Amino acid sequence: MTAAAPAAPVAEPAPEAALSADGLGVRYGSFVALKDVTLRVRANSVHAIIGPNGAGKTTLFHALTGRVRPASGRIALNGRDITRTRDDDRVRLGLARSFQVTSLFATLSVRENLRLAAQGRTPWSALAPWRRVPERDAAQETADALLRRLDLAGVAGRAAGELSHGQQRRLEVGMAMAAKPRVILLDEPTSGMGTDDIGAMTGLIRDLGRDHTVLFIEHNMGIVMNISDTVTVMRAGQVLVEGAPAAVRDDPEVRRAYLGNMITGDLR
Amino acid sequence: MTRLLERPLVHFALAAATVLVLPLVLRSGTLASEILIYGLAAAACNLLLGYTGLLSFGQGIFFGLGSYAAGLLLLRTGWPALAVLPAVAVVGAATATAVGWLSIRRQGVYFVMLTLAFSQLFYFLAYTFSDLTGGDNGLLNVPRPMVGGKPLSDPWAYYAYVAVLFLALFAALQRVALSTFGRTLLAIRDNEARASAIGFPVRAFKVAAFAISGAVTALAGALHAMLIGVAPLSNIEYHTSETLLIMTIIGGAANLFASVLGAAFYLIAGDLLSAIWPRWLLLLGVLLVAIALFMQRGLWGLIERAAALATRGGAGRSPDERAAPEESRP
Repeated sequence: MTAAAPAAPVAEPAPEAALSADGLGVRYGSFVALKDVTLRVRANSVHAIIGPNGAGKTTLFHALTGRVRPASGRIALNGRDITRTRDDDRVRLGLARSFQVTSLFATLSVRENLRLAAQGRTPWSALAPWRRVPERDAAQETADALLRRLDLAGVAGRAAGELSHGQQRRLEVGMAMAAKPRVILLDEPTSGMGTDDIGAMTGLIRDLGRDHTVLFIEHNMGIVMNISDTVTVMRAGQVLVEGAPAAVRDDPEVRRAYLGNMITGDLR
Repeated sequence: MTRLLERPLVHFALAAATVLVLPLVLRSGTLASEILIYGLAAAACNLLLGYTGLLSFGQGIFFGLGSYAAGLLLLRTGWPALAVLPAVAVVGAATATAVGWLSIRRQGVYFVMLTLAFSQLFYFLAYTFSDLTGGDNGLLNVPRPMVGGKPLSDPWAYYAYVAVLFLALFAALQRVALSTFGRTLLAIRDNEARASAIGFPVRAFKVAAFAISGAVTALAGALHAMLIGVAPLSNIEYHTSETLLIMTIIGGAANLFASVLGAAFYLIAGDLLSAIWPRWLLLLGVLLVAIALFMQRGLWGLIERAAALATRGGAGRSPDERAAPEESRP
């Protein structure tokens, strides 16, 4: 042991994870949907989850947002244990999501959808049977700002169920943004979108990454490789590989899982 | 004109007009009072069915308990009716909170089954505790309210009493429906899972809707007991829940005045037809089939369609084609 010996690499202090899961397991009856999933989503990063159908990506989202109860493991949001916290309470703690299958208030107007989603952050104040909806309040302002940002101002008064698919997908993401979350989970935000819409959505997700922590599930590898800081690959309910887009793309395991031909897309 | 039909003030004006018109077209003050009383109970039922998407067979519980509570308090405490009514509202709200809190633990068919089960449970409780409720005979000699030292024994005098309370409660229900709370109920009706995912404690909202609905329904039950001078066992029967649901559906969902319309239609049709044909309920069955198949927006939907036709060229589109209004239905 001399001073000349190369110093052991000092482990870099791990940047604080905005959202983390440790040893997460979910069962549907006897079917194991998630098994021992450990995930660290760095604050203000864009983190993608990819994997073949049935890999457990959406189940992971359900567990992270509280829609399903994990059978084992622990979930933490900004260091706080939320494993047993109800889904609506997690929104107040700064966690919001969008759905893979569009899930809106179909008969209510687009503006009302967004206003409700913004109100969802302070839901108990809505439990006031005597209070009128104010003409101007924080929720209305959030809704108006999102209508402009998502290019939905022109259809603000129409029922959400009447919008085109692309508009509905934008509103779907907007509903998650309206809660002004610190961590936003997007489940296949571009599913079924046309090329033009995909470009706009990609830009939106990238922008979101500047002041939010974004975790998203995506099948479009072009988007994943272009805008993600970290990519987690899942297969059969487990994490297969995790790393920077380039590393993941070149990983032999991933290539095998995807038969080598699905990962294209340019790197930033 | 179609836009006009969406305004809350217009709905209140229609309710007030109903109050004024009934004495002109009906000969029986009792029937007129019944229309307002059941209209109120159906509007309260609509808060659950039309606004929250909860098909509750428990409304008869609250109606019947309201009758009993009013009868017992009036007979045994000697309180004036105006002191009894708030107490009845509290009983209704408390019972509805308990029934609602347990029933909303399940959704869909199981929710409906739970409310049905509670309905049976309360019916047999009322039947069993005949010392309190009078059992089969009902709780007899429920007095009319006193105004100026005299009971309102004249049917039309009592009608006026009911009408004042009806309008006050109708306005209160409208306020609820238009509030941040009411608009959240519509969201829960549309998509409960999403309402929860954007942060709303859905169960608390449903229980609150139950409490408000239960309070108003119990008040209607109290007014009914004072009207007919008895709190009958049939008021807490499952059949009352069914009648209230039918009135609500005939009138049209998510619209409070439509419920008054539904109640008026049901009671007047029953009054006219039962004199001609004792099996008139058969026709009601046919009507319900027609509504379920072809006019799910009920009588109110017909009125809207007629208004749209009348102003065709102006508005052009029927209400069904139009986007949901921003200020959602009252």
